[in-house]
Amino acid sequence: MSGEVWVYSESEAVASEVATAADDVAKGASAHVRMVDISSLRPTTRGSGARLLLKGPPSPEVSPAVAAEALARAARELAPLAILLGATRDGREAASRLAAKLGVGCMAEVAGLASDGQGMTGERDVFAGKVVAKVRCRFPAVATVKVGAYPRAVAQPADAQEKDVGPIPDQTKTLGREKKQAGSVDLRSAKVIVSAGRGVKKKEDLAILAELATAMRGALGCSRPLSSDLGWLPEEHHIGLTGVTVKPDLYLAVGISGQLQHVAGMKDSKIVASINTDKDAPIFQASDYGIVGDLYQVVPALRRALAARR
Amino acid sequence: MAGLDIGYLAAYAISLASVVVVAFVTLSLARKWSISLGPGRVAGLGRDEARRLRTGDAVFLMHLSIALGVGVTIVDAVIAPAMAGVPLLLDLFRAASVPLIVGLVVAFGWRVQRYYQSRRVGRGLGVPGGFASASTALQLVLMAAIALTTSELVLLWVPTLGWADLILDAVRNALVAAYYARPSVNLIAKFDRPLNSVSTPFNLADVIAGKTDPGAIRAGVGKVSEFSPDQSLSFDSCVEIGACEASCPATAAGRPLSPRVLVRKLSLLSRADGGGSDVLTSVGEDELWSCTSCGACVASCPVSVKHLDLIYDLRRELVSKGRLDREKSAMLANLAQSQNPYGFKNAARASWAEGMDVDTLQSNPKTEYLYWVGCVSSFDQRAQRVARALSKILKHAGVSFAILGAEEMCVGDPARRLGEEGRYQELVLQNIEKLNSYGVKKILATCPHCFNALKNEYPQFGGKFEVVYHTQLISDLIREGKVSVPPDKVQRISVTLHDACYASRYNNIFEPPREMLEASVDDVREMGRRKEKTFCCGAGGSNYWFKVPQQKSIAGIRAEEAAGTGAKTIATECPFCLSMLDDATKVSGSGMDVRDVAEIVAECI
Ligand SMILES: Cc1cc2nc3c(=O)[nH]c(=O)nc-3n(C[C@H](O)[C@H](O)[C@H](O)COP(=O)(O)OP(=O)(O)OC[C@H]3O[C@@H](n4cnc5c(N)ncnc54)[C@H](O)[C@@H]3O)c2cc1C
Ligand code: SF4
Repeated sequence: MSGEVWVYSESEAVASEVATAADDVAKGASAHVRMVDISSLRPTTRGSGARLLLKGPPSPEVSPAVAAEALARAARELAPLAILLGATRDGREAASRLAAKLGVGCMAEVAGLASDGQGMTGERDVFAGKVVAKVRCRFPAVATVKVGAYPRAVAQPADAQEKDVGPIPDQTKTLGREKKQAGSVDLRSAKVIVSAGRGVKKKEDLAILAELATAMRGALGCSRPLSSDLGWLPEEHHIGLTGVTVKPDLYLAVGISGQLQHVAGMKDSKIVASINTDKDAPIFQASDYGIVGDLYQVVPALRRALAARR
Repeated sequence: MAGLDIGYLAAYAISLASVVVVAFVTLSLARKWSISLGPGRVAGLGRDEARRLRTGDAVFLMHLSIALGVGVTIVDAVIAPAMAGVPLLLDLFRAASVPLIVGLVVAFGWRVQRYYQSRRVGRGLGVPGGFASASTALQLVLMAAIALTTSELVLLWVPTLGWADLILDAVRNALVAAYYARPSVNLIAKFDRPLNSVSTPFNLADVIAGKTDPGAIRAGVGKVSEFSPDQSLSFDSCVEIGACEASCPATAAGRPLSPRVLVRKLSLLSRADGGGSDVLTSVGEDELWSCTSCGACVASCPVSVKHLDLIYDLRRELVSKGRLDREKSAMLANLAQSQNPYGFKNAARASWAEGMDVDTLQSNPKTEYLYWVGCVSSFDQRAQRVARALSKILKHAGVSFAILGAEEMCVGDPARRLGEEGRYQELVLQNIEKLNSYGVKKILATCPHCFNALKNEYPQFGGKFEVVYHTQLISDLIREGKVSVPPDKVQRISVTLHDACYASRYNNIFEPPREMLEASVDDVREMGRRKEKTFCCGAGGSNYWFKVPQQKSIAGIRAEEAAGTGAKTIATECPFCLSMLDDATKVSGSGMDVRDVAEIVAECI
């Protein structure tokens, strides 16, 4: 059976990753990949295969709901085997809407895609990445591809086909955009977090930890008392049960005792290291590495060591 | 002779007519809701009122004065012709009027004070102008009813004013028929419904068995018109007494919730457009999340409004609409994936018992008690010490017990209080299956949330066990002499007990923790708000797992009250209270020590 595997993402970079995944699906199903774009101002140039430009929806903003409707209208007519989207925020929403509109299966956040002509299989992380589930979906199908799981496809000149799907009113309206306050952090995406606890004596002393965080290309977090009770840092820095849950590659807890409510928010970090004067502090039980010592000596020493390595 | 005076007869007829109107309205409301006003029910109410009388609750006494004041003046109006002939009767009425007048004057004062408070709360919450004026109107009408009743009682003492008296009477009775009949009927319907009963929108076991169509399940209420008749009777009975608002920890902490405002909003909404509009446009999400389910509102309401019934259904709506922030959905995801709200591995549950030689049911299924440890005492290092203290006491007294260890799961309470009934019942069914597979008969709990669920909620799902709270068992052991504290081991410390809502208000356990303290420390002090009037620590109603905008912390308010007794130690009986108050004393820097009553006793043996 021959058909098409469509690729769509609102982000061009993600679309080129999804295109690589689509190649794997197309191979097994002897299908062709087609890059889909919707009333775009930034035509997709990346990715292998042909292009399809869907005209009709209002430009330039294509909301997930509009994208799903446009794709659904085109798919009903052109009957692709599969439609792959990027597992971005918008992509997830568009995919679930699209699958529901078409009444077909949807695989969420998959990687390792393959196909046997009848359907496709993929792998998805479940239980916070502790288990990999193998999932299968019969064609026609929709899937979102895990971001970062595939290399970007090389750009190729492509033949573009246009299709008018008719006007699609957008139910949502953007009322305005506000910039986040300066100094705001996104701890959830930080690879390294240096986290400060009540072991820090004065607000001014946070500066040495902020410097350390910068030197390690990381972000500064804290235990709850520092933000909620002392107000030294904004609320969004506070990690734990009632704050942010983080999973960085390296979590450095400085002067944090490691109460359960804090640990609940960082226990899934890849590596946890801690600095504490109290050798019995519970944080050491949650740590891979621990330094029993005064943060006012250890942190400057770490800074010097880092500087020496550059 | 007055009795034949045509004017007098007419006046009497009008007076009687107004009494008949009151009776008619009350009876027809009762019939509308199929509520029995039979002698059994009324006698039951009488007994319950007598019980509340003994608690000496001021708001209750005021309301009893209003009810009796109205009753006495109605009887007076009916038997007025006989009064003239029997001076003794008049003396009797006059004697009865004195305490009632005092009660009514106090009630009037309370209402004036609440009126100012309600304005302040309303401004804090930013209630719309329409709501504020409706609220003011209702409060003024009821102040008028109280004033009229008071003056009628006073008039027993002065020579009759004839027509003026009659007009007072008729106006007052019209107000009673319009405003008091509904709350009275609500009171008669619900005075004996326990605080710990929670509505169950569906039964998961029936759904699994195919007896209930999953498509027909509706958990939550999106429009006021979807509330059950019983619930609408509840919110329509509110006469803005304000006892709920005065006792609510969420209101006290400046959170965006007042139980009075919430209930009245629902009532006004139901009248505004037949209750067809979306409740969640008038009731805020944080308003609903602010509630700690402490039950102070329900327990203090003189007319038995069940605020929590309404709040749970609205939370269920938020859950079914997915209106959950990251913390709440993370907690629910943890319950689904790890069967505990923290997201830790259950394999580590028994780590507190290492080196203590505590059996698991697997190794020893023949023990008398299953000790249900609960998630907090399983994972929280501070609360683990409570589990160790309890084990020490039980071993000392020779009580045979075992734990489930890695097989224990969350009891489900955090899911149910959040409004996730499905996940709650999933946990309940799994737990009951496990407990039955071991043939468990008696369960011992140190967490009042576990205790309450196991004791009062599990039976409905087929889990029938004898459930004991640790303070009950330990105080029994002390009384039986199986645990005794030698005089030289009595601790020379000053302690004040913080009653946990779910142990005290929900389950009437007041004396056991006090007996434990009496036996083990030499200076026990009481806080003003104690026993069934205890003030929440702020963790209940799933509030432990998320944060709500507030001006003060609830735990901070309570820790301050505890410090006010001059005691150096706060004794708790719940691992959540322990954690909240421990944190609050650290934040305030009061230096107070916070310990579970079991730890205090264990230190003495
Ligand atoms: C319902 C609830 C929810 C909560 N949620 C959260 C949450 O989400 N996140 C959170 O973090 N907390 C939370 N908490 C608070 C939590 O219980 C702890 O109180 C808090 O995490 C402790 O913060 P800390 O470790 O910074 O302070 P502390 O416990 O006071 O610890 C300070 C540590 O610093 C060490 N130290 C002191 N001086 C030095 C030095 N010179 N060098 C090195 N080390 C030093 C000490 O040995 C100590 O271990 C919550 C509490 C409750 C009750
Ligand atoms: S249960 Fe407690 S917190 Fe909730 S509304 Fe009632 S008094 Fe307030």
